[in-house]
Amino acid sequence: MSLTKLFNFKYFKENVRKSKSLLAFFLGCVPLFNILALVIAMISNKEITFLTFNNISLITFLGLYILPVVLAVSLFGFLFKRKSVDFVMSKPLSRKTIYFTNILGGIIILVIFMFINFMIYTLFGLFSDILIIPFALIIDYFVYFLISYIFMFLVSTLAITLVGNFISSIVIILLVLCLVPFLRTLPFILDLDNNGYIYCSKEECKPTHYNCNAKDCGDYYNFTYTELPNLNEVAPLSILNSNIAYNEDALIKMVVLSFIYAFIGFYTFIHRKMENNETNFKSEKVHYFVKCLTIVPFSLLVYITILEQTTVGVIISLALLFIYSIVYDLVTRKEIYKFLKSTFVTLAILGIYLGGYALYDNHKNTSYLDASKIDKISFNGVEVTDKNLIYKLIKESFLYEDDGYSIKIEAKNKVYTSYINIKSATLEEIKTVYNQKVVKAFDINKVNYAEGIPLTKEYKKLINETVKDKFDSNDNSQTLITSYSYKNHHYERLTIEKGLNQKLDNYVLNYYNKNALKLLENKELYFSYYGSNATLNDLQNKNLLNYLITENLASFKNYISKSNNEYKEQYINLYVDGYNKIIIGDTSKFIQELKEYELKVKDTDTYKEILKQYQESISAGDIYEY
Amino acid sequence: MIEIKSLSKCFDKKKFVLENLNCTITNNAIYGLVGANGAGKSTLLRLINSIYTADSGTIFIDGKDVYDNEELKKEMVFIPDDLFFYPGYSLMDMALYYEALYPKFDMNYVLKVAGKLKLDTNAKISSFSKGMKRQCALICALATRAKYLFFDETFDGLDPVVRKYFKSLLADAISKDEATIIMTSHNLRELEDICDNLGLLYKGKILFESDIDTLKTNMFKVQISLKNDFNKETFKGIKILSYKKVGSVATLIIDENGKDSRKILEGLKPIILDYLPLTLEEVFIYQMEALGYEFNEIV
Repeated sequence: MSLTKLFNFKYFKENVRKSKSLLAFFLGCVPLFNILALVIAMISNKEITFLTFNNISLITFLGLYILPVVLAVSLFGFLFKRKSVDFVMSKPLSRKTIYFTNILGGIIILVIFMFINFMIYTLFGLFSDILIIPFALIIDYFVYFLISYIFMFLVSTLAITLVGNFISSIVIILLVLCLVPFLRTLPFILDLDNNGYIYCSKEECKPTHYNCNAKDCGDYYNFTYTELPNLNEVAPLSILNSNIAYNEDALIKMVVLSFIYAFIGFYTFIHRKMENNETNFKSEKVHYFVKCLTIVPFSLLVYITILEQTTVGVIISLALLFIYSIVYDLVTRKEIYKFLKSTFVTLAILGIYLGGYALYDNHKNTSYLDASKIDKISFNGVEVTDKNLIYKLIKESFLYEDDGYSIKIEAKNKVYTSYINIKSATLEEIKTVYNQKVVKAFDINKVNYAEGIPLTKEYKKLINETVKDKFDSNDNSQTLITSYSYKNHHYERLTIEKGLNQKLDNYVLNYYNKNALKLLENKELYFSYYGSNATLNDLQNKNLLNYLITENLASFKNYISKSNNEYKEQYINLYVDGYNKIIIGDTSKFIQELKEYELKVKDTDTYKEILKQYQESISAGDIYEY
Repeated sequence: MIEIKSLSKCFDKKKFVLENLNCTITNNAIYGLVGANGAGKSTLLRLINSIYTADSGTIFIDGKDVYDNEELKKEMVFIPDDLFFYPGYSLMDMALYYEALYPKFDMNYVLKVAGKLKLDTNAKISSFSKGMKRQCALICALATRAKYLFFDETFDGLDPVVRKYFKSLLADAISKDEATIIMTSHNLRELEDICDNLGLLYKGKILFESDIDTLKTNMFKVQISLKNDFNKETFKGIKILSYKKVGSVATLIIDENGKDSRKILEGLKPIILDYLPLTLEEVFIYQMEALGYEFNEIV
């Protein structure tokens, strides 16, 4: 059967027509709030702002919990009522057509919805001077959330086709999303003691100082670490992470699961007993089965309170379980369903779960971490993958002399956290290697921003010539360009120092000056100067400087445009506003120029008044302006 | 022609709503389905319309398996007892919905009938009375020009005038569109005027079915009195479904069954001989009694 036969456009159109208000409201919310957030960001940020994946995702992420569910209900919600089942299923549509039309239709709606968001970010990225939204970031956003929304939509449709009631569908959605990840996380939740060993058989990583009080030392050393559950969860569960991040593993998982859920949904819809509606879990066995699955978290709570030996805690957790048991029956069966039997089932299952936890606790092995299997140690944005440096960190980790760092260890697809001490010298060594790598990987074609200057071919060429084999200095006073490139789903920063390439220096300086001169009229100037001996003496007063330049604006413009301006050891930035600046590369020449302006106005009353105020403020020890 | 063979459906694995049901419905006629609450009338209609899936058995229409048959369903329309309209929809919106799915949908028909019934096609159906909602559903169904129409409790909520009007529309559908209509009702009187055939559904089976003309022309209530004393044996050769004698007058329910009873009875030289027509309900009562059932238990 061809796709055109499976997709009935007229039915899809009618489906959209019947829910147009609802869909317009829910699907319109996210783009509207996204626009609002962008406008607020533009208004509130005076300086260039780099939007991250996290920044642009928040509203869309919140929508992920509502929109796909609403969409699934609007397309498949007819299954909840007998009369709507009669109406839809009696129409000249096969079950295959209904399912495929609704699924593909839902996906089309989600593609349009995501495309609207995509266009919003693209347009803001193109036309906003303040907000930097790289196209690659928008693509990341589009791909990640389109797949996430489709995944959530398919989970919701699967849940609806399985049961015949809205509340039961929500229970099934939660079970489909959370049960397996929760069970996988269970060992980590139960692993209350975090002590383990680090194993190292080589001299390079053998700790200088160490304890070994549990095992015959050998090559095992006590090491406190916590294994983290794999958080490459599907998007709706990524809330468990501290921030929303682009996650390739999660994407692959969602794509695979989407196909599986779509197939199961298709099978269940084709074979669905359409008389099952308006009730929850018609079969008593299914009712209890689902109940047993949903009480897993409560049983875990009971187990932990038992381990903690808090009587009050145990009583409260048991009470919670009991209340949940009744609420579940009330919600799904609309009555207190066979109270004694239901309570007995709940308690029996609780017993089985507690037994299982205890069994796991008794049989778990003391874990150890093999130093040679560590792939990466990361801390403070630094990722150490060099084997020798990893060994060095392990070797020194037991010293208690230098700064402590919270680290993340990745080994054999597992992730651990720990807290170690790192020697200052080692830290410097790591930083150098880390920075070197950034520079080597630098590709100007991927740069989204370089000091706010348009990325022309000439500019790119100059930067590329300059960064070859140069290191990132991280010294702000020497920074000529700070550039950001969105690569591998995050920003990478590279700074280029002054004086590395005269042509580049001049290019940057001329760009700023040319731009700022256009904005000079009626502007108050703020300035900052660099270089140890740079000084303007009295002229450093803002009012004086402004007065001199305003009164001699034509001469000043002429001086800036004609002077052979280039960076010297001392230089001055004259800020026209928070962002645009005039760079005075040769301070001595500029001071001479100012002196000439001063001569022209020194007899005016205004000049005398400003000077007087300035001198008074010096006497009062109240000079603060630079 | 609709052919149902060995059809069974149960809802909770224990109780069969329909059990091994066999039935044949001829084309271009109105088939009335009667039965008590829970007899399986609505379930049967839902099974024919592929809403429910049968546990066993087959339903063929014009020789084709009806289950999930998209092409065949273009010629079928079902109006259930519990009507459904999308929230906020008007009659026009519903008509557009039907128009999108039924290739032969006649929008002019909707406008014409709605005009006659003074239904505002743009008013929200939710604001309509129960009867007006039923009118909307029937108009949309008839406008599909489908060959097979299935109505559950067809005239529920309609006033006598509108009811009569819709009966004429159904008759038009039969004559002009060569439609076949299957309708259910509790009210035998209602079906009597319009149906060509009747089937009685009892405990998941068609207990009895016949065409109405045959029923009504073959069965009579006869009141008779003879000069001499007489009893049931006196009327040998006549199929008597019921015999009651009060004083010298006996009341017989006769099934002609191809014989001319009047000749036989006149041959007995009766003092009184009256042939009275039977209502459909009476026909059913006596037929059921003849089959050994108490009719009051059935309908």
